[in-house]
Amino acid sequence: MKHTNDRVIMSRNETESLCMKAARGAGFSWGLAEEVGFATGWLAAQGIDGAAALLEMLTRKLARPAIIGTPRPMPGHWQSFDDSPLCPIQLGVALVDRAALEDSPFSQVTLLDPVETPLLLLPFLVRAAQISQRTLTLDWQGGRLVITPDGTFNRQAAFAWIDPNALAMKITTSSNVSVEPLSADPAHLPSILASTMNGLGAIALKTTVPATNASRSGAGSATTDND
Amino acid sequence: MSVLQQSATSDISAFRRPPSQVMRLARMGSAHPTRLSFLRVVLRRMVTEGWQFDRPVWQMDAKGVGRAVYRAIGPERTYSLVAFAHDLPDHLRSDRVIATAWDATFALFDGTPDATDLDRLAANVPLQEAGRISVKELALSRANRSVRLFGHVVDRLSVGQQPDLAEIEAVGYLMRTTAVYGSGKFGAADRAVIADRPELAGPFRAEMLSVWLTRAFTVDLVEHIARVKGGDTAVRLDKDLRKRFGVGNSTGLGMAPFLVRHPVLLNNWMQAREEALARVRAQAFVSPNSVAGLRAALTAAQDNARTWASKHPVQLAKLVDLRRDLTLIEAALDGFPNGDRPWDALWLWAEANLSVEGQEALLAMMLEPHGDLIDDLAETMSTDEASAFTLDGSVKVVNFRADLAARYGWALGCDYTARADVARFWYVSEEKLEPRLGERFTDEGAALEQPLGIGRLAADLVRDLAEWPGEDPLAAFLLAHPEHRLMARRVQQSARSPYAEIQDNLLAADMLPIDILRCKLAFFGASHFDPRSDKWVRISLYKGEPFPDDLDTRQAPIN
Repeated sequence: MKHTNDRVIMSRNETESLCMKAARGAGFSWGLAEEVGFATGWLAAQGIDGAAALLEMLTRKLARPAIIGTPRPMPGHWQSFDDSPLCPIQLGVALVDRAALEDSPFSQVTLLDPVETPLLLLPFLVRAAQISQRTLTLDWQGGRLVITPDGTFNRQAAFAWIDPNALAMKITTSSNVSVEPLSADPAHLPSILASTMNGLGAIALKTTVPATNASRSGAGSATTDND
Repeated sequence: MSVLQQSATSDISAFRRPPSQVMRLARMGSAHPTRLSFLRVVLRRMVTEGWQFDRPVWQMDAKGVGRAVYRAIGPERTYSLVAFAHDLPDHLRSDRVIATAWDATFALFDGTPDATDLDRLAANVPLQEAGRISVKELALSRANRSVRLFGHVVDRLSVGQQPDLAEIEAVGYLMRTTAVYGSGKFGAADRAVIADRPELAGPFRAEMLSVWLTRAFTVDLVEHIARVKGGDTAVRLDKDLRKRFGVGNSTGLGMAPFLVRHPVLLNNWMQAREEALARVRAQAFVSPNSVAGLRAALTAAQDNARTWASKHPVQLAKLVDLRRDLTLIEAALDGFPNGDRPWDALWLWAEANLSVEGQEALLAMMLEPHGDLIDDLAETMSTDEASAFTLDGSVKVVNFRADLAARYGWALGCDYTARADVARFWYVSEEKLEPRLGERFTDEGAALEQPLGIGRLAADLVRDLAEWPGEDPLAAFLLAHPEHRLMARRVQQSARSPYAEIQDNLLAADMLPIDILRCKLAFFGASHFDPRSDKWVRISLYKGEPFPDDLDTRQAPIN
């Protein structure tokens, strides 16, 4: 295991795979775990470390019942089903699922109650902008982020979402708001702390079955490998 | 295709085999490599584009320990296999993913490595999964010797003799890879880095290139060790004999989940092959060249079947079928071509008279002489999985339900409460994250089951959807039932991918994982499928194919 202060560059595929398994290990269904993989992989492709945010969120989740912060979608106002902040994965997935509906959350002003680890919501909002073909303006106390239908967004504003505190926000949509053009440089994969990779790996191990001699002997060749 | 051929083949859907026939484990488990197999496609391109090859680094000591670099130089880009040879004691030799040392370890480098790259790779590649590679590397792999054959070849070459053909045919390779990792694993470059490069855009091409260069390394190594042993008396391998060696591969359950986890990709492989068969069958005439090509393919298949060895009862039974059917095909070709659509007539005869093994072998033979007609399909076999990922929750439940019933009927024929129907479960072991198959009613770990029993997942989804209000959007159902999200996504992904699903119960008591392995390995281009149990196989890659110095138009000597 690498020293915890070492940094590692995980490929996008590795990020998706590890984060998916860790999400499952923390209790998300396989389908939601796949979405966690997608979200963190997308962030990595933008040069943003979503793995650290995920580790922090999953670590908190491990101490509580598996699925909390499930959204209760009411027109104009999305709240959490329980007294936890909204789960960014369940919320993000639910928003994207509805993005193509006529009465989607993007057909009107929509308030979101506080969302934990909001960075993990960003990939879903970008996807929702693309599906709904609307420009989304996210307003929160202290900031604003605009996402255009082609998936462009202001990276500097997005960095504010790396703050782990839960964030309430308002979504307004329109068909024509311009965004300052992004720099054209393709993002480099972020270097992440080895401790993040190891921490997620430890949670991912919860999806595995401890080996027994019986299970070891059943899996490999029935003959030797010295032939 | 000529205009005449095109008009004759304009509606070939009648000649396309349906998924219900093709996507069955018994048939997938009888798959043969074709000219659309990945290693064939890699070689074809290198020949067409005039790739060149050299070996700028060869540093091996008297024990056969050291490093080498093999380059494949294309018109636009160069790729280098960096090879490390080790001194592995016999008692540490294991093909399992839990091994920690190997006879040789490799990385495929994107470009030509400099001294810094080589030092970095020397520190990491021999560690395999315990090390890290970088975005400059496209693949990571390792190989172990076939102890018996390697030793025999060294012994013979060292005294100036060639190895015994029967010994070679009994094994078929000097070394076998035990894992070849690409696509971003352990820090390697993501597929996106190479997806736009024509030479690597197709599935597993980087891995296949790596294995082909590894094959050259295995020969160089055995010749080196023979020379160390025999000095001036030692000779090199005869070039014709050399072609009899492939690169072995040893694989187990680790590969099986792949076909289930990548439904759109699997569809694209199958669809390309089935389209190719349909194009051939739909032809209204036969060229003399293609008849000669068919006969040559039959001869090659018979030669292959003769040297195909296995001790596994399942494979032995298939080999009996295959050898018998090849004899029947030979007799049937006496009257070929015959009738309006001779290829289709031949095919229909095969479906009526041959085993599944024989039919799939004939498929490969029929494709073989039709490169001009079908080789373009090789470029349709990859996919951008990210683009098919997002679920559309706006569809109405009533429509989704109907779609599910229409396309997943195959999944509903089982009673998933019967013990035999759910006897197995797929899981991943904590130890080195190795995929395994357990017996649900006797083994530990069923609660940690992997989502590979697609048939049962489909049946569960059907059950819970049955009472949901039809006018609701799917989004509402999914919010209430997150446990069905994975299956719902698959249903949507497969809407345009008819060959996406293995239409058999992967949890059944009598399910043979080697059927899944053989299908994937046939698409790689593997020959001589040799099960060592019903969960573990050996195969050979590139057997009979040229080496880099056979292809290099400059004929540069490698010392």
